[in-house]
Amino acid sequence: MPYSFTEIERRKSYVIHAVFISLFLLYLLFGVILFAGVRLIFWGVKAITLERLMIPFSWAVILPGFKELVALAGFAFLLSLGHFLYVSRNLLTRIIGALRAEILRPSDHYHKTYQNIIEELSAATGGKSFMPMVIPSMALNACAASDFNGDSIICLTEGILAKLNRSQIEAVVAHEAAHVLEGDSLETTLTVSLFNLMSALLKNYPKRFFKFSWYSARAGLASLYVLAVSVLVYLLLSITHAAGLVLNMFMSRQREFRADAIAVRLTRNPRALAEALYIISNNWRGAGLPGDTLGSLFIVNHHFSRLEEDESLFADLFSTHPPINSRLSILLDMAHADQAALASALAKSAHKPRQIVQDICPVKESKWLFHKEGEWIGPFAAADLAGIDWITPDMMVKKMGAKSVCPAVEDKELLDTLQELKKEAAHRKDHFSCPRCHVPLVRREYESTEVYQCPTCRGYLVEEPDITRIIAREDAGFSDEIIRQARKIEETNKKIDHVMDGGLEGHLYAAEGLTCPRCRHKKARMFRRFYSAMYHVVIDKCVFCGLIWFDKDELDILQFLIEEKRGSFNAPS
Amino acid sequence: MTVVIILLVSALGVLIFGIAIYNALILKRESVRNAWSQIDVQLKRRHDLIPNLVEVAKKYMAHERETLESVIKARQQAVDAGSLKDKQSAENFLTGTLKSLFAVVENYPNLKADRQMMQLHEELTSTENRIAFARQYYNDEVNRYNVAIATVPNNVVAQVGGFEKSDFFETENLTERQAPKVAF
Repeated sequence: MPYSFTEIERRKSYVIHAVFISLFLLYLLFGVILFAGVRLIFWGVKAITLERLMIPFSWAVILPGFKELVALAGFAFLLSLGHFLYVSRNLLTRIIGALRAEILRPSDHYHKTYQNIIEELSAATGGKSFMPMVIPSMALNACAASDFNGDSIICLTEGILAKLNRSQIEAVVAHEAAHVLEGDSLETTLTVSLFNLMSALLKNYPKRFFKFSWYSARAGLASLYVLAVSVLVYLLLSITHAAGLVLNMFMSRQREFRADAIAVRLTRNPRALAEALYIISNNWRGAGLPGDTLGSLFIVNHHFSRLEEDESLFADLFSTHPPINSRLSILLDMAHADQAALASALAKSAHKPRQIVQDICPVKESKWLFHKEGEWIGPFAAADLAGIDWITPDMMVKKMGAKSVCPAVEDKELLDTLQELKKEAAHRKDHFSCPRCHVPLVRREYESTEVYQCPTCRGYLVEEPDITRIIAREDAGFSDEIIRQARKIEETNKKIDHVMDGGLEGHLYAAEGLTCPRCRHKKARMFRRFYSAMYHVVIDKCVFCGLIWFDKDELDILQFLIEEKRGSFNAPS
Repeated sequence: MTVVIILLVSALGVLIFGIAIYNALILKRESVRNAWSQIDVQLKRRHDLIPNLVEVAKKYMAHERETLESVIKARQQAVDAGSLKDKQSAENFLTGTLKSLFAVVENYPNLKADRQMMQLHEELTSTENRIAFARQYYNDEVNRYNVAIATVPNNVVAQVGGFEKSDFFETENLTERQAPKVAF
């Protein structure tokens, strides 16, 4: 890379010192405000209780003198040092927590591709390693964070993995890798951790404040103190947030341009980055999700703002990202293309053919009939056999299509199949049983995500975070039957007037809720409800572990409804 | 007396400057060597993936013996190659055989859809990308090093210290490639 290590080290310490000094000044400011506030209260009390004003008001009364200022500075220094050291130790953990980022799953082939792409970029940078993580949301955005130990993470949302193609994902990862290599990532992570992590509290503050003060006003006198404290907290949080914004002057737009340039240098593909930026900027980028106050870390700002699209000096100072249009024009220049051509090319390629999901037992597989207690039952295919435990060696079986019956022990194919199933069952970590039929669930892939299906009733057991993935991905198509059932649900939806979020729980809870397969030992009942007030698909959800049970076809119907409402990624825009 | 001191001090200055340049050149040369070993890592990864690929393909493509055998032999050659030139040509030849293998795989839709095959295909594509990126990085480092030893203040130190130019990892034109000496 063009920068030698010593250069990066030098720049690193300059900005980090500036950050520390800002933190110190902030604490000093808080100290002075507190000091002045306390003095003001004392003066006010004196003025009210005594007949005449002993001391007329002047600033000297409430502001600290020189010695007091020095003492305050000492405290501020200690506090800021402590805060700084504490935060620098846990930089990545806090960011990961704030973003709700997760590690990759090796069994998921989208995640595997992403892992491969990260390792390719690692090769491109001469062996620098990045840890990939995923933000489980349908929004499209990406960020990078580093800490003082030299570790760094690159997070992409599930939406990006589902929607962008391989070279576009590679371009986005290269952009984030560029931030890491330049050292920006460490500085931004530090600033954001110090000043913006608490900003999430500011979002709903006025509303919560009014609610809270209404409650406390009923409590009586205590409400005045509560009022004072709340106002103070709000003031402090706002100042901190403003300080973060001011520091953004250093995290300027220049860095994003430079990261774009380095990304192109790494991938040699400016068009892919242009396409990725175009698609991301035209989609939901995560405004409203946890972590949207950490916008400086991300490739595109979460919130659409006029300031960002502006080119004035003010915007240059206070906006964290350059206007999308200028980024696109620079990249497209390199690619010898223009924006209109880009838009039409993307619209054309957006339509990907979808395949109807194969049912768990394809017709070609062997099936057997079993003679049990005087009756012939079946036919059962291999996957169905997983749930059967009453096969004995002397039981008569007939393979479908075979001419004769024979004892189970003589049918080699049956024995092999049973062996395989036994091996598979032994390897599985979680032995889930169907909450309805109590047969063991079979693990299978749905939209490249691991889910469990009951071979008997065809219901699905899904972990909650996987739902986002399934909805974001669009490999599977929908059969006409599913679409018909979905339309029926939509019609009934319109007829019901009052449905609170969670729906019919008052009637169905505990009376008919199924038992959670994972929390069986706790005898936990799953909570039966609509998936949400907008989508009236009935599900059973466990409050302890978050597992969700869908009956036959319900998962497909839900996916269809949500995709229809949201507008499919694949539809030409 | 003062002239002597001035001369001594300036000689010392030049010496220190020379040492600084020498150290920088050492860093760049080692960086080139490191970049080469990165390519080696990815090439070895490719060598390790190929036997699996051939096994899976054999199940479906029993009649395409020639193509499969050429891949196996090319791989063996690449593993055995010694000098830089040999390595480069062997690896390029291996890339060519893999390309023809995948062209043939297109004719076998069952094989294409096979789960294992899809995973292997993804792994191989990723490996090819990694090799390309590692080569790119190597060439960038070689460029920096060659420029550093050729520019004016440094070339004196380079000659004294015995630094030589490094070669780029080049792609040969496959149509002009010479057939390997080993008999098929």
